[in-house]
Amino acid sequence: MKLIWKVLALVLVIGVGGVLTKGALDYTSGAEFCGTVCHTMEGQYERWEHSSHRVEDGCISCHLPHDNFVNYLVRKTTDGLYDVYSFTLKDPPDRLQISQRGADLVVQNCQRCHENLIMAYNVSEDRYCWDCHRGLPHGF
Amino acid sequence: MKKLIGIIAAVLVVALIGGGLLWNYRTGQAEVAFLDTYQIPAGELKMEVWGNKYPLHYDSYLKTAEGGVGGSKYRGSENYSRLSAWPFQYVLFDGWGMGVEYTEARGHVYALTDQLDIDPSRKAAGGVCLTCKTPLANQMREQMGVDYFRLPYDEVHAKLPEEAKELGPACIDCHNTEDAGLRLNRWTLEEGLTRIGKDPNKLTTQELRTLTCAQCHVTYAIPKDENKKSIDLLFPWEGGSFGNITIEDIEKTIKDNGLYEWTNKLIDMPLGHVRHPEFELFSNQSTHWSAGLACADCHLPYQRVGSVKISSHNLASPLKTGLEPCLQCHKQTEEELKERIFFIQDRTNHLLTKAGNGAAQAVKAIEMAMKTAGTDQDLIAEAKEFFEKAYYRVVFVSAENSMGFHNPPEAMRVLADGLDYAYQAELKAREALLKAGVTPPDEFDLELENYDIDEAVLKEAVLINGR
Repeated sequence: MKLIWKVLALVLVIGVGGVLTKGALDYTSGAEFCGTVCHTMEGQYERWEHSSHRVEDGCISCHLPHDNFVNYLVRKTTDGLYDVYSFTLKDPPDRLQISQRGADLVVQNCQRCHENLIMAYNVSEDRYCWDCHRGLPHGF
Repeated sequence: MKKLIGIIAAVLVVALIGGGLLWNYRTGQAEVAFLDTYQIPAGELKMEVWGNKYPLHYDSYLKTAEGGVGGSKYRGSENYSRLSAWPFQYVLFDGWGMGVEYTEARGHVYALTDQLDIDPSRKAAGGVCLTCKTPLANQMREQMGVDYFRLPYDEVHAKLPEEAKELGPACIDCHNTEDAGLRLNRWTLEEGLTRIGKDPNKLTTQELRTLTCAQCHVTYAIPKDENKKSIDLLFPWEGGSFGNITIEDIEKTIKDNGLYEWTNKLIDMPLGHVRHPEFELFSNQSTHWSAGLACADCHLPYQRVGSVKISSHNLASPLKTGLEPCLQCHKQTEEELKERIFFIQDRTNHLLTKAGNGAAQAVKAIEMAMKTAGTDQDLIAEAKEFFEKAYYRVVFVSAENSMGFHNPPEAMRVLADGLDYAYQAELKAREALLKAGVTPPDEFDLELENYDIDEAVLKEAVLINGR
């Protein structure tokens, strides 16, 4: 009897907790969350929404790693917490500029999707795609 | 309490796993690469063999054979007499091959064949002239030792294997056969980089996208033995550093090491020489260098061909291909950008023409002073010293292939110094003449009728140069 309750409780926790976690992950992974909840990024959101990249998953397609799930979760947590800290406790500048760490991540994601296109030339490790493709996908 | 924390932690972990399972996480795509259906043999020289594996690149390279006439105001890569376009050079170069034939080089395809055709006086230095024209330069030097530099050009050329007899710079000069990654294929640049404290074995791809070009698009000096035979080839960069090689460094290396290669006949003066210093001028903190660009970004621009993007190997001035690479960053029209480029080049040409004519005036003034009996030899020596400085500076810009565009402010600085030194040289010579009781003319006659000027080129050049 006691064991059944324990199993049921576990299933309930997995179910409810899972749905809640998924909800939270989904909610905080959408472009609307980054772009409208946090109004320092409204401009970027608007420009992205009208760009050819809008068909992708949103901000996270480029701004989080997609090599494996653990990296993804770790980066999502650390970067997300830093964003919360900057937005609430610091005074974010009008002109947001990507960090070195952020840029190194984005360029990997450019290459992840456009791999077919760039396979025929020697890619410079220390140059970013947007050094030339300046307007993509939301200007900066 | 401990138990409670344990339970909460367990619940969190379980919930996270559950969320992760439900959540449709996407991973990256599988790695894509060229199918390795063909392996280029090690040391392969023939470009058509490389073309088997890289047909798109080879295709674009073949376009360089078509030339690309027009587009460039100062006629880059078009076969014309550069002497006749700036006739002051006849005076500056009087006494060696440069003053006999100085024809604008065409594209890479013609590099070696154009050299075979040129006036023999230009190849008097010997086999050393092949260094940038054959991909086998490293091997030739290793096999022949100092003979490679010293023996007559035709004799060394005859030693090239049949397949390399007319082969100019080839794929293997910049790429390795395994995966076409970038590499260097000249000992000269490796030594040159070492000279300025840059390790040639530790270069990034972006650096190599400049340095593969810098194997040849640099100035060089040919050390001579006591019989005036060539014994080596080096880049005169002593005192410079990566991203800061100046005309002062080049001048100092020539003077400190006595790298005098020829004698100006008019004033009987041994001189060094400056050749096409594209890398030196561009890399000296020019706007585009500072922005992180390499030669290849503008001269081997990315192009979409079918489903892939390649780096176009139709090497030429972007002016000949519709400013394709410029327009990627500069959001103006082609016409607006062209106007800007010509604005810069016209101003460089203005000062170059002035400084060049100033230096030629100095030569003529010194010549007259030397012919006059009883002139002060010290003054003439001082005049010559100033002239030497002017000479290197004028040639630094006139030999450079961009009419200042690769680095406008630096080109103007060098030319302004050149003009200043030219005037000082002329003043010293005038002083010597006056002291000897001769009144020098207001302007010295360059006596251009002594030279074989291409009138058509000159006529067109006067329209551009205004002089």
